[in-house]
Formats: sequence, structure tokens, C-alpha cells
Amino acid sequence: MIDYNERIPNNVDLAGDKTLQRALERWQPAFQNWWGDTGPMGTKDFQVYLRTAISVDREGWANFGYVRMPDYRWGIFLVPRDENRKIAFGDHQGEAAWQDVPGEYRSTLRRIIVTQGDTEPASVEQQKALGMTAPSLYDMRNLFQVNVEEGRHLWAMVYLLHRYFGRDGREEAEFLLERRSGNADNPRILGAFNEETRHWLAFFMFTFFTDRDGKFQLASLAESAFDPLSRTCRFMLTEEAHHMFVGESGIARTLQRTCEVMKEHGLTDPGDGRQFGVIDLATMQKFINFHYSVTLDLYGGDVSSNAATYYTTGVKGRYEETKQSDDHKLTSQEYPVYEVENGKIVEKKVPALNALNAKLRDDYIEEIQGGINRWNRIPEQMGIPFRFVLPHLGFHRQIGTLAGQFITPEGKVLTEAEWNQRHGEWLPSREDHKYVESLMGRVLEPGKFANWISPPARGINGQPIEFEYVRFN
Amino acid sequence: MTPKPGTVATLSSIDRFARVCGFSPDAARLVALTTFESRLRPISPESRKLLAHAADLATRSHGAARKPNAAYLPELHETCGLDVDAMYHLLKELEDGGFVEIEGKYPFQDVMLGSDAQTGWPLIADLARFCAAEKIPLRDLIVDLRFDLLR
Repeated sequence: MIDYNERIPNNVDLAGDKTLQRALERWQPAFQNWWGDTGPMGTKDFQVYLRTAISVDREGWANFGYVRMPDYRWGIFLVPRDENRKIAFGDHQGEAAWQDVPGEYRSTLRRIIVTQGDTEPASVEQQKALGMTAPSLYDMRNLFQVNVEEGRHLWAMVYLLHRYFGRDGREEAEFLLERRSGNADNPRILGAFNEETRHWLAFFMFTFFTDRDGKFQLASLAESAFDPLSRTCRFMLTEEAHHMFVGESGIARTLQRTCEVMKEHGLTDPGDGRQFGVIDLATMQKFINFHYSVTLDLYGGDVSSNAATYYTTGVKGRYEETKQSDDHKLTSQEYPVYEVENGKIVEKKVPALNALNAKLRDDYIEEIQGGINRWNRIPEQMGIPFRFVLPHLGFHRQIGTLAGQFITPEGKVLTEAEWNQRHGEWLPSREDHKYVESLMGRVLEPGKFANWISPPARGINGQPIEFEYVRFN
Repeated sequence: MTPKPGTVATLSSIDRFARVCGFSPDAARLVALTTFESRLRPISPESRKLLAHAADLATRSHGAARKPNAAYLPELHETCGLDVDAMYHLLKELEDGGFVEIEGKYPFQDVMLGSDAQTGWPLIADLARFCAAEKIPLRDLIVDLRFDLLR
């Protein structure tokens, strides 16, 4: 169980390591200042109906109640140690998992932890204004739940930096609070985390597409030979699951509302619906194209010697490594990647060890397709022939073997001039953003929802939909 | 150490269960329970954990109007740490096994606890109520298959 009597709630016996405890207690006020400065705007006095982790057990670990967000008990939670855990892959396969950082992998592990840690506060910063335009109290609460948990994930990474990386780690922990999403002088590390989340459609897309990248990265790190990293990521995954639910159900409810309006007014054109204040299907497809393609870039280059090194050294595994039926060394297997040759997309086989980013991304795509299929049930149930489609792997890519090519969602290679003429058909334009933003108005009455989104069927933790999920003092 | 699974074998072995849940321990109940137990054994432990969690949510007092014997998907998602794909995968196994029914259309679905096909007895819900009353973790029965705890 988690000790909430401590100044920093934890299940890592922080009290038993006074030096570490003091260091983290020094970092804590800086974190709270960061939250006050760049967390959800104007929410200092809100009482929010939040879940708080009370145990690291997967079943029944959450407790619900009103919390003033600055008083949220951010803490350090790792799943319990398995004394017999062995390294499942790479050169150290079969050896006992590391309880400390091997000197030769210190900088690699630190870089991975910092990169993961940097995304957590970044997303809070990206979403800081969304509370001002929440379509309901229910949605506002879900946003804040996601935000506080991203804050907790920052704590998770900072604990590792402080505990295992000495002075370097403490400095990196400070830098995590100094970088700012979108700041030209001191931006967040990954490009996708420097774009402002301007409206709720983008928020739902982000939690569906980009948080899922987070899930796959965390799942790969949960396989790490460095056991404290693995145990931290395993618990983070339980919280991340709900964030993706917020995204999937948010889009589903938006889609539901649009389809209801289309049916009510006999609309058949997917570009139709704006006159009734909903987000038309064609615009939603453009946002899917955008968020999907920028998230694919987060997986890095298709062919990567860094990824191969991470794997061989045991620092980062594959998604569900222990369920793979190969030798877990990948010395002789191949994996397909795609390139453009003579204006055509062609498949090339490369050593599987070098294609680990591509493999992780393909696992992600498979799961995303499942979500798209579920969304497509909604127009199908309502007799509307439109279906969402994932764009081609090469569409709108900035990183990887297809970066810089001009490829349509169907996978046709265009010239730059053709692309410039047509990209507005596939990606959200300034006008599309402006239209979606025009729908965003704050709905504060319990049980009421903005016109562009359907209410959920059920409330949170068994509470009714008209429950006061956020109280304003 | 994983406890050795216990089984229900005789009418007298469900006396306590019957007393707590207010039914008579007749042959039909015993057959229903032993059938349930044998159907549950081949189900994956992950799905059994989800079933136990859903039963717990569906039967605990929430202090609000609520559909009987239903776990709501959002609360399942928020309390068990499974993401959407994993949740549907496990629910499919439970649905195929007749332990739950998914009611409603996506995305507005509820998870209804299954009843005994022959008698209509809401057995899973009663197991959850029994465990709550006797302060036995429902997981001991549903996940670890400790049906001897009903004695």
C-alpha cells in the first residue's frame, strides 16, 4: 500500500533514505511552482472529483473524492519487486534484472528517462487552456484527471533520476521543470510536444493517438533490464490506460453527435453538418490524418542503430517482449521497411535488430486500427455510409525512411507542387481549426453538454452524469 | 503461495452461501454452482480478474440509482488499469463463456453480470454479495477458484 502520511506519498520507503528524501523534498516546491505557473489555468481553487492511487495493485487501486488540484498527492509508486525477475532479451538475456544502473549504460538510460520524463509536463503545458472551454463538467474533470496523472508520471521519472543518477540526475530533474512546451528558446525535447492543444477535438485526438505512443514506449521500457525503470513504467501504464479511454470515448461521443445530427437532417455528405454546430466527418478525418501521422514520427527512424543498441544492451525491449516467440536477440531475422524509389513505394528487408522502431510503430498501428474499427461502428449503426480510414504510413511524415516524400493518404507519391495544391484536402486547415475553436464554449451546468458532443451513457465511479464533477469556489 | 483450488461438492457445502444470500441450498443451486465452477476454470486468469472486478463494481453500494448487476465501462476503465483494447479482448472471452453480457451499442455499453442459464439465478452477483458480507476478497473465489470458501 501507499503511505499517504509522508510529505511525498510513496511505496519505495523514501523515509529509509534521508538523503534522497531531502533531495526530492527540495524538488517538490519547484514542481508545485511549475504546476501553478503552467498547469491548468485558473483552477487553483477548484475542487475536482479525482481518483487517487491508493495501491499499486491492478484491480481496485483507485480512490475517488474531491481534491483541490494543487493539493493533489503526487507521489512515487512502483509495482512490487519480483526477486526472480530475469532479463528477457539482448546480450544479458537470462541474467538477473539490474537493481542499479550499470556504469556503461548510465548515459543511455539517463537520456531515455529524461526523454520520457519530458513528455509528461509537456502535455500538461500543451493542455493548460482547455479547462476554459470544456464541453461539460464531466469532460473538464477527465481533462484534470489526465493532467494530474501526467504530473505524477513526471514524479515517477524524477524519482529515478534522483535515486540512481546522482548530481546529473538532479540537474536533469530541474531542467524538466525549466523547459516549456512551444518555447522557442527552451522547448520540450520532442517536436509533437511543442504544439499547443488548441481545442477539445485536438485533446481527444492527442489522448487517443499520442498517449497511445506513450503506452507503447512505456510498455517497451517496462521490459527494461533496469528493474526500477520497469517497475515504474508498469504502474504508469495502469494510469495511462484511462487517458486513452478519455480520447477514444471523447471522439466516439463527438462522432455520435455528428451522426445523430446527420440522420436528423437527412445529411449524407461527410463534409456537411457545420450549419448545425457539429464537427463534420470530413473534418474529423483530417484531424485523424494529422494526429496519426505526427504520432508515427515519435517512433523515430525506421532503421535505427540506437534502437538496436538499446535492445542488445537490455535497456529497452520490444512491446510485449516476453510474449514474442523468437530468440530475443534478433541476430538473424529481417523486418520490412518502406522507401520511395523512382516515384514508387517499395519494401526493403533490413535486419530486425535495426528495425525495432518500425516494429514498435507497427504494433501501435495495429492497435490504432482496432480503435478506428470501433469508431466506425457508430456511423454503421446509424446507417451512414461514411467510414474513417487510417492514412498510408508515408503520409505527412517528417521522420523515417519516408520523410520528406509527398504521399497521399492512399499511398500515391506526388510531386511537391501537386502536394502543395492538394494537402488541404487531407490535413486540417487554419479554417478547420478556426471552425472547431468556434464551437468551444465552457459548459458549467452539471449534466449539460456542448452541442457538438454527446453526453456519455454513464458518469464517473458510478455517479450520475449530472453529478457536480468540478466545484468552483 | 497460490492456494490450492477448492471445489463445491455437496449441498451442505453451500449452506453458508445460502444463508448469507437468502436462498435455499437445493439441488438446482448446487448444479448451477458446480457448472459455473467448471466453466470458469478454463477462462484465463486475466479475464477472471476482470470478472471479479466487474462483479464487485456492479454490486457494491454506490448511493445512486443504478442498473442492477451492471458494471459501467467507464468505471471499469478507470479503476482497473486496462486500456480499451485489452478490456474488449477480455470481455469477449467472458461474453463467449456466458459470464457477462455487453448491453447497449458502442460507445454506450454496460457490462451485465451473467445469470445461470437454467434457473436464471444471478449467481455471480450473489457470489459478490456473499464475499462482501463475509469480508472475503471476491478474487479468492473467482480468480483463485477457492470455492471451498463458500462452506
